[in-house]
Parts: sequence; structure tokens; C-alpha cells
Amino acid sequence: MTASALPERLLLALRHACLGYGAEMVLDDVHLDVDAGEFVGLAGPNGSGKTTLLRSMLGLLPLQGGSVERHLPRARLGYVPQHASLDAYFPLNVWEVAAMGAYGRLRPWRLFPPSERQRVDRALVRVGLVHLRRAVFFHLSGGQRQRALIARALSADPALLLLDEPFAGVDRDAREDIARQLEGINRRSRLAIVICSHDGDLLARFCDRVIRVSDGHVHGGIRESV
Amino acid sequence: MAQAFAEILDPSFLLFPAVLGSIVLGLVCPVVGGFLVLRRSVLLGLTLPQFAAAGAAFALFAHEVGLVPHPGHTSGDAHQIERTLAYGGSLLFTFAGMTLLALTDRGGGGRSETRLAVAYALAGSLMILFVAVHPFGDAAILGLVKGEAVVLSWREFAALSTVYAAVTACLVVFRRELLMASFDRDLTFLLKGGTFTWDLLFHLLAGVTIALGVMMAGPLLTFGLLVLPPIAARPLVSRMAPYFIVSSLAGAGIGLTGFAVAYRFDVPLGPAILTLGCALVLAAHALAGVLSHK
Repeated sequence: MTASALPERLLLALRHACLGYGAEMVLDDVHLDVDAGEFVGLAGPNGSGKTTLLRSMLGLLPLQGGSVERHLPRARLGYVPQHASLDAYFPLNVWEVAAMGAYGRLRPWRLFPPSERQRVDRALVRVGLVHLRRAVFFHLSGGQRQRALIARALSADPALLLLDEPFAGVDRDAREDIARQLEGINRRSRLAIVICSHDGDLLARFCDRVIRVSDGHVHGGIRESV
Repeated sequence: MAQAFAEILDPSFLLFPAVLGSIVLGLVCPVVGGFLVLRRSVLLGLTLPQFAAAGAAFALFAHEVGLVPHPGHTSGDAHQIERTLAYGGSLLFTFAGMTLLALTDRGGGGRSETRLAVAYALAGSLMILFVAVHPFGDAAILGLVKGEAVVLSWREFAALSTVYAAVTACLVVFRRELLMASFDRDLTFLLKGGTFTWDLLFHLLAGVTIALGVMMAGPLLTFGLLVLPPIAARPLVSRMAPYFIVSSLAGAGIGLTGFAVAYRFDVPLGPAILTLGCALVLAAHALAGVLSHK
């Protein structure tokens, strides 16, 4: 099933959510909706809790209170981490990194089927990296690595794509390129995207809706019409 | 040296099973160790062999003081029983060490390297203590520590090959899951529901590999074969499959060449193989440096 085949509906919702690590509360009483086909920005200064919010939405971080509703299987959450969080000692080329997105659909003993290879190739085409498929992942620039990780997330055939600071360590031109590519993916396939960044101006230019995260709270997490 | 190679590769050579054992050990240990190196768990590869050696020493001690019965009637039987007990002790202590490390990890028992350092000191001390109280244990354990694989029989070689073939098959079948769990734990959570299963599988495979490796070649040589070939291979490759293939071939290469050197110059096998392994690491990094400048 592709993202475009999804009905217009609520994909993910947080209600009265309290988020944090152990005894440390980072965000309190969070209300947030993400609908199918939306392009949502999470803006806020460094350390405001954007990554905490994103990880809680993914289920990587348990809630300390409140609830999260996910109206899609976990495997259809596409996650793009910060490229600096990955260990550069792994000998991986771009195609191998992008192919990891398809691992969830493959049984352990199966070879990589041609249909999945094509899906990975298509994901690399969508992010404009197919010509670098054999390049060493950790030899790429920050922007190219980020695009390879977006291709990895797309290989998982997600219904909702969540990106953690995709502009970190990326020059200004590359930021614009990444934002434009994400906008194109969102418009063409109606894939819902949530992107967090401290660059609120950039998010405002490309996103349908920008949610502000600051002072331990989330502002504008639910559409006004809702 | 060519003469030494010809002699040790002759099937009629007295130590031929040990030669083959060194090659098998060199082929398989680097594949397991390749994951240890990538996961930045090299110290685990140092500590677990020490636990395995302590287990072997404990088994010999327990046999000697009568904690386990002496059913053997001939000296051959007694030797076989001692070897079997030592294998059991090695496996038992390896998994006990892994369990201890896992439990202290869950309990927040400090940083990973400090826990491993304490565990290494404990295992090393236990091994020496068991040998010290065992009246005839010195010779057997000294051979183990030096990495003298020369006592390997055909039967033991068959057992080693069978178990290592199974370990390799598991690593090949679950290569994607093990890679993903090592590289990106968040992605593994999303696509496979978590990393527990894959971490457990990897540690089981590593435990079996290390326990048997230590019984055949001692803790130092097992550690060296686990980590030196992957460290040598890493700067020369840029993809996962070549990384494991080059590591494995390098391990087999230094296993065989080390045996030939030890035979030719009448030096201990373990240090001969490890010295070659270290030379290989230096050569590989020098070669990678030269290639990157071109």
C-alpha cells in the first residue's frame, strides 16, 4: 500500500501527553494531531524538546503520562535520524543504507528480491542520489547523507515520515534542496511528513503547519478547525 | 618456509587436525569479531575468553578435588573426560559472564568499559586461583593460555567444525537483522519490534564461538582472532559483505601462516599467530593510507 492510497484521516494523536526521561519532565500536557497527507513542522530552539516529542511519537520513548494513538502499523512510520547519530565505522555504501528500510518486509533467510531492489532504487531516485548508490555513505556531505537516510525511510513504504533535525550540519543551499525535495514528496504522493528543526523560518516557507515547541509546552499542536 | 607449509599441510602430519582447526578458527572467529568491532564491544571480546578460560580451569579443579565423579578407567578415558569437562566449564562460565554483564547493565552498574574491566579482572583472577589450588593444573592451563592448539584430535576438530558451521550459518541467515540491530537500534525497533532478540542471538553465537575457541586455542589467541582480522580489513573495504569476507580470509591466512611459522621456528603457536595478526593490521592501515593519498 502506498501513502497515496491512504484515506484522509488522523494518523497519529497525542493527548495530555507528558514526555521526558526518568524523573526529568521535558514537555507537559501535549496535544498534537497529524493527519494523512499533512506536512507539519516542529520548530523550537535547541533543547526545547523537539527530539523528545518526535521520539515519543515514534514510540521510541515511553510516555510518562497521557496517551498516544497511532492509526497505522509501527513499521509504516518512516524515521530519519540525525546523520551524526550513526557510527561512521560501519563500512556501508549508500545503497546498503537505503536498503535497510526494506528489511522489515524481508524474512531472514530470503535473498533481496528484485521488487525490493527496485523499490530501493526508486527511493534513491526520489532523493536524487541514485548516481551515488555505490558511494561510501560516510564519505558523503551532510546533506547527501541526510538524503540517503530519507531514501532509507522511503524504502520502508511509510505512511508517515518523521525527520529529526534534517538540516543539522547541512549548508544553506543543501537545506533548501532537502526542504524542496520533502515538499515535492509530500505534494506528489500525499505522504504525511513531520519535520523538526530550530530553523522556524525555513519550516514556515515549506510546511502546511508549524507547531512551536518552547518552555516545556507545545503550541498549535491541533488544527484550529479541529 | 615453503617446506614448512608443505609439511604441515600433508594429511599424514601428526598435528594435521590442529592445522585444520587453526584455519577453521581463523575463518569463523573474525566473522563474530567483526560484529564486536563494529558494535564497539572489543573489550567484550577480551573479557569473555577470560571467563571461558576460568571455566576450563574450574572444571579441571572440580574434577581433581572430586566435585565431579571419576568414571574413567584408563588414562585415555580420563583425558577425554577432562577435556569434555573443560569444554562444559568453558561454556558455563562464558554464559555466566555474559549473564553477569547483562544484569549489571540493566541495573545501571556503571559505564560499559568499567563493568568489563571489573569482569576481566575477576575472570583472570579466578582462572589463576583455580590453577593454583589444582596440583596438576598448571601444565594444562599454561598450554591453554599460550594458545597451544596442538592437542586437537580428529574428533574435537569434527565437533569444532560442526558447531562453527552452525554459527556461520546463523550469522549468514540473520545478517540483515544483526547488522540493523548493530547500526541503528531505533530503526530495528520500528521495523522488527526491538533489538532484544537479535542482541540475544548475537551473544549466544559469540558465547559458543568464544567458549570453543578458548578450549582449542586459549583466551589470548581467541581474542586476537576475533578482533585483529576485522580491524585489518576495515580500512580496505567499503561494504559489509567484503568486510566479513576479507576478515574471514585474513583470519584463516594468519592461522595457517602462524602455524607454519610456529612449526618452522619452534615457537608457541598463539603468539606466532597474534604477531602476524598485528603485522597485518599495520600493513592494512599503511596500505589504506597509501591508497587514500593516490
